[in-house]
Amino acid sequence: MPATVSRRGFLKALVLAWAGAAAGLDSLKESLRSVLIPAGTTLHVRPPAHSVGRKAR
Amino acid sequence: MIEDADIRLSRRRFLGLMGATAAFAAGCSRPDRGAIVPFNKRPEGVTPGLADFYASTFQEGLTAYGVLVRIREGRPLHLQGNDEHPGFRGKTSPRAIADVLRLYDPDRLRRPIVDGRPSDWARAEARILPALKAARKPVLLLSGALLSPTRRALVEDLRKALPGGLVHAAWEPACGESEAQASRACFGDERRSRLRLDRAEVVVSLETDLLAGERTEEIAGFASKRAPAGPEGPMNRLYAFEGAMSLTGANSDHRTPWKPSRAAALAFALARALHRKGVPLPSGVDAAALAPFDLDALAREQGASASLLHGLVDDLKRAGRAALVAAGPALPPQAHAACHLLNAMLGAEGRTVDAAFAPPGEALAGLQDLRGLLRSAAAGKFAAAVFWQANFGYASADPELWKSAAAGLPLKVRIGLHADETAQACEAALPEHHWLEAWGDFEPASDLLCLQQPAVGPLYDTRQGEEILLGFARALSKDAHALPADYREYLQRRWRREVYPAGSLVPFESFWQASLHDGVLRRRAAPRPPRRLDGRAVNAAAAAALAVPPPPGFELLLSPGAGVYDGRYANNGWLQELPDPVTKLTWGNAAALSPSDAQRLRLQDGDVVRLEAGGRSAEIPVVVQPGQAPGVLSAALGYGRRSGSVASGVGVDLYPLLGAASVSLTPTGAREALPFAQRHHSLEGRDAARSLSLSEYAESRRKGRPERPLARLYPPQRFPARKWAMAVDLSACVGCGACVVACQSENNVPVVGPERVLKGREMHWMRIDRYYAGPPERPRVLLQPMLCQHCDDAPCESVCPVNATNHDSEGLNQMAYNRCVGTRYCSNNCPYKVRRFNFFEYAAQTREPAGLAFNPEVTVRPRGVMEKCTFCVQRIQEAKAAARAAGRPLREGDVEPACAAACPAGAIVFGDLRDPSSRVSKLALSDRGYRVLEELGIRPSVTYLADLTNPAGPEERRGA
Amino acid sequence: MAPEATLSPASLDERVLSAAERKPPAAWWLALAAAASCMSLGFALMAYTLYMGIGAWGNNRPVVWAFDIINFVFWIGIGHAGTLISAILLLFRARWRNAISRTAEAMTLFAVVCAGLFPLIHLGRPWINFWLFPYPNQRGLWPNFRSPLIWDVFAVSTYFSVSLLFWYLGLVPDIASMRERARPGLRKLVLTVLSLGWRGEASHWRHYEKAYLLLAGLATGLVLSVHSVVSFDFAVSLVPGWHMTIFPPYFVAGAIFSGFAMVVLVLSVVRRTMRLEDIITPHHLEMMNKVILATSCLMAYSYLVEGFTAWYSMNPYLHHIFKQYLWGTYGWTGWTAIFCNCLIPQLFWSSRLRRSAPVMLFVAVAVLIGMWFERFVIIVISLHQDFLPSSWHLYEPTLVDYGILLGSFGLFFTLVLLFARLLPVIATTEMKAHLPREDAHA
Repeated sequence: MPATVSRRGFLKALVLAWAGAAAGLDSLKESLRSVLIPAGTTLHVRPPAHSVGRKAR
Repeated sequence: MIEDADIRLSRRRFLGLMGATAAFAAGCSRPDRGAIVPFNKRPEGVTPGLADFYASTFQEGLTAYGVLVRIREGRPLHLQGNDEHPGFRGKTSPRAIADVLRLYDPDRLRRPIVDGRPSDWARAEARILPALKAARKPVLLLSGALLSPTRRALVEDLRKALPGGLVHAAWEPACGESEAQASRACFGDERRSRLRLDRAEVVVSLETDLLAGERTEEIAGFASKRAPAGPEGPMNRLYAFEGAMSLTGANSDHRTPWKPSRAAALAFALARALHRKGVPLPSGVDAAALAPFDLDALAREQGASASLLHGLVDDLKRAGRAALVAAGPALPPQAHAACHLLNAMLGAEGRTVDAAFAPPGEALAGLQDLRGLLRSAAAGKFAAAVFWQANFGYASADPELWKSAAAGLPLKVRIGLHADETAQACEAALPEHHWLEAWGDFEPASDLLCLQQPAVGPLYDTRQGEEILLGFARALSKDAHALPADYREYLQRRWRREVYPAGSLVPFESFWQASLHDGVLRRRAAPRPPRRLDGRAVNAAAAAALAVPPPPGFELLLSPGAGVYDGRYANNGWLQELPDPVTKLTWGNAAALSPSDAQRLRLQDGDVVRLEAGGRSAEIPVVVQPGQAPGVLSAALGYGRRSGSVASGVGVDLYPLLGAASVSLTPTGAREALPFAQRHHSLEGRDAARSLSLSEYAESRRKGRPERPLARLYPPQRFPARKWAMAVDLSACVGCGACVVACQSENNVPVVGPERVLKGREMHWMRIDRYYAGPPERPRVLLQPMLCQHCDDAPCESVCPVNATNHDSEGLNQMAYNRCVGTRYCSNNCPYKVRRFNFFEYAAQTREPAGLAFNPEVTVRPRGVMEKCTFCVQRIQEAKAAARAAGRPLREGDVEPACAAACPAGAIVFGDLRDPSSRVSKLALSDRGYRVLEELGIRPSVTYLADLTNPAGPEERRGA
Repeated sequence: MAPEATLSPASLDERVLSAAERKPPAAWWLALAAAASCMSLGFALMAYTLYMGIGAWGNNRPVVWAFDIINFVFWIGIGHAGTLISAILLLFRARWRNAISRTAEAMTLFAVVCAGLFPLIHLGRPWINFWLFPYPNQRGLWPNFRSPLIWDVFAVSTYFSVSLLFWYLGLVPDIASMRERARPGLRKLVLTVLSLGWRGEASHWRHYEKAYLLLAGLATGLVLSVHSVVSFDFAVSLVPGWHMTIFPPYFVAGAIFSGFAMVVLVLSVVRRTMRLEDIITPHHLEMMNKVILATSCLMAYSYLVEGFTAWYSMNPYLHHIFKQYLWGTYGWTGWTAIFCNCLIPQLFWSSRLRRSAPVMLFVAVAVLIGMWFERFVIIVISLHQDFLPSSWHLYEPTLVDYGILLGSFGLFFTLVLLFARLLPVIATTEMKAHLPREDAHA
């Protein structure tokens, strides 16, 4: 194990770690979201062709 | 990026790299899956953010409910009653409200299935039409009740087109045959009368369920005479004689357990007693035929109070034309005939029993008729069969007969919404529109036509059932152009020919549009001549009633389930989870047993027993029912379905036992945990739900209530502009549950399923508590809707660690879902236990497209968050915005929460307490009014008006 | 047992500090394996709960708090013994505390760690637990300072930080001793860092004494306040059975009671297995058993007061729920609590039994069982039948609940075992200060 760690090396490690964590957390969030919330439906809902509605109240 | 160790890393460079990393990480998120996409070209008539309404009609059996459909972004979301409908006047039944979920049922058939494989319409037609064209024998058409003159015309057109002819039978499993049989015998026609509870002062119910949720008009009529202005009345009086506990019995002033086999005898005995008191018998009725029915002997036999029965006779005599005697569908025709006799004697026939505008009778097939047709089918008498609407494969309840009928039919076609038990036997399953996508008209009365129009374009590749039949007729008829391809066209043509008034100054288009807009058309119709009672039929009925031997074993009362009806709604999670109004059981049925029988047989809630009759049997758990008549079992039909992802395997199919006079009961020793929504039934001497008789009410008014102001430590809350409050009238409330379903529909309340109901995790924001008081054989039943009380000094607010629940300046207790961390302290501190916690991610368990039924104005709550009634704050905000846009202040009646809008009895009143002219501020000051757990000093905003009962005479006769 | 006179600083060092230097015996490894596997099971089930939701537990409506809060209160209670022994007995100058204070303080810390897990995992959305802490944010939102749960946050975090500092401060001279004895290597490096450069100079000692006394003063208040604040979770609500003014002293007495029982349990085992019977003497244990006896009588008094209050109050809800404590569906838990908490410790009236190792082990275990069930009685029974009978519902724990409870014990004992082998279990510095000096001045 090296006796000392240079400031530059330390900062380099820190930045890499931060970037990795940010990206990792983000994809973790996405994968959790896909587990927790279902994908949307592709069903199209169309209004009726000849019906007569009432004014919105 | 960083290449080498000997780059000099300046601070600026470092920050720049950090920023780039952040952008990199954020930008590299997976792209949005396109869940929300704004309109590129907005469809005409759709204003995002504003709701549209369409009037339509929901048919269930022989009832046509006028409804108003609320649409957001093209999706029907919420159903409520059509205010233009003269009978329903803006209210409808719980099952109607829940039916919007069936539109989005994931199990709906999306395209035709031919010979077991998904197919298309062309191939389906190629499979079916040649067989129909070549048919030499008649085609069998089995449907539900038509209730529509246009449908009847269509069936006629189909009959003319088919070369071999058509045999059509309409069957409703839930409508018994006794009523129709008795009508035919006594009056010579099958007119169905309206029960005008709004005109009745004394009502006698024999095993009816007059106040069930589906009887919207009757509930409204009953409630209108239920809340007197003061202790002197006037108030109606309801006597119930029933073997099973029903909502009618629960709300009655005098409920007597009475075996259904002796109901006819009771009615005849009442007639005899009336006659002896001087009321003349109608012509043809033989007094000697009534002689064997003695009121005192019957009272002794059933363990009832003779003085009560004699008092009833006096009441009936006094009420005269304002009396009403009704018998339920489960009773034999003799009982109905006896009620016709009583109503005729009292002069009620034509007044409280109103058949003046009855629609043209539709002869419904009985169970025996149906079985006869199936036997003919098995013998090969038909070329093909078309099954439309009713689920014959499930409800005909004779699997052997069904199989042999299917074998004897060369071609079977199922027109329906699901691949259900009937479709499983058919060569072709043709998916039909949900009624929200369909056109139609219904004639519930001769002076009323109800229109059905689509509220949404078809979701799938389906066709309206009528249109499928029209297609057959068109393909088979020689003149291809006589019939239109479109059922809407067919309907319009018939209206133009037969409905549009001749010589009208209004063009047909405007007439049509106006009718569609209103959803109903009131017509001038001549009242039909009053019905004349045939005395000989009554004499025969009396003789039949006498000859009934006491059946061995238990008498069995089967009635359609409160939620699932005859089984057609078993796949609707809202209705499965809606607690039965009396037993509070969800997700299944159970056989109700009287406490004395349960004790004798050593049975408890959940013990499974075997019921056997005529070679058929069923195993079902029991529930001990206070007030049930000894020797009587009752249970709900519509369970034990064998298809449908939600419906399969829930409950026990009791159709095999339908029609059995008596069953034998054998305990099996097995036990099942029953998912009750409420487990404890006694009020334990507490006064949460209060009920007084009129005399007690008068007494308390005279004495005055001690006003003990509660001490306060803090200054009172200030509500400068408005204070929202609610009043619930327990006297009007019958416990039907429309408020529960309306709230679920409006507020995206999740369905949790039976295992979680067992654990006590049901999510209903509004619940109806049901308490029994008094002895278990003759209990008094108290029903109380319970919801968030929006307390001024809410105990839940001070204990939330993250301030997720607060009070707003208008008196609402707010819930901020996105702030809630889920410590659940608020639930502990709520004495009413109205807060519901999302123990799981319920929204993720919604099977698409059922998610389309979510109301976009209300958040769908994630896991770990607490939720509760908000007084429909989204409706309050909508009304405020509309008022602001119109430049006027908010008026009384602008805001109606879903529960208040749905209640057929008008028991729930909502409004601004600060407005002295509002209904709620007057009701809050009523001397019948009280607040639940007022002594805790938390100042709830909901005032309950104590239930009033109107028993005859002194207290000893109460509950006798 | 040899009297303290035979102890010398050197022998103390040798016997206590060397335990951390030797390889642990096989029995230790076995115990660690057992504790660590329970702990892993607990963590796995907590992860499962995080994944599934609180529905994995038995909680329902109305019993929305069950094993999660029972365990929280249980473990916080256990922590109180250490602080009382370390801080209050220090201020009272009770000499008998020296041999046991280090282990007791360590146990406090570990108990608070175990306890602190539960408020975190019982949240419906634990990933935003930091909203419970007051920090400035751009939305201007602060937690609700009126809520007892926020008071808990302050109380428990204060308790944890003060206990940690107090324990660590006391450890510094001992770590320094260990550092001196250590061979060069990683261990010596870690000990060097942890000992903060302690060299035993007079100025060091002066700072040490001042800081130690200060922290003792702070910690003293915490003994009474922390569990009072925890009791406010219940007493401030309006639930019948919770809303009683006796709760703060009742809970504090119960905390001291269960804490001492756990200390007696752990020390009984430590002194046997590490052969420290003459340093942690039967006298020490007897003093602790006397405290157990005293607090047991306080518990009995509290139960009687609760019963009296229920009757005297004429409050039908309170009356009903008290009957449920003893004669309801869960009445057996009430009787277990009374039996284990009030009756069994009465054995300690006999001085012979007070000094008997098997008896005190039995009593300690009984007290722990009884105190856990007492929390069950308070939380679950009060919740399951409250104001409106329509909401009454039974509660049934799931295997996940049991597993997490087992896991919390696993975590606690894993930490205790690691502590016993890595750090000195006796405050050798303090003991040395009280040994008779070699020049025979007492």
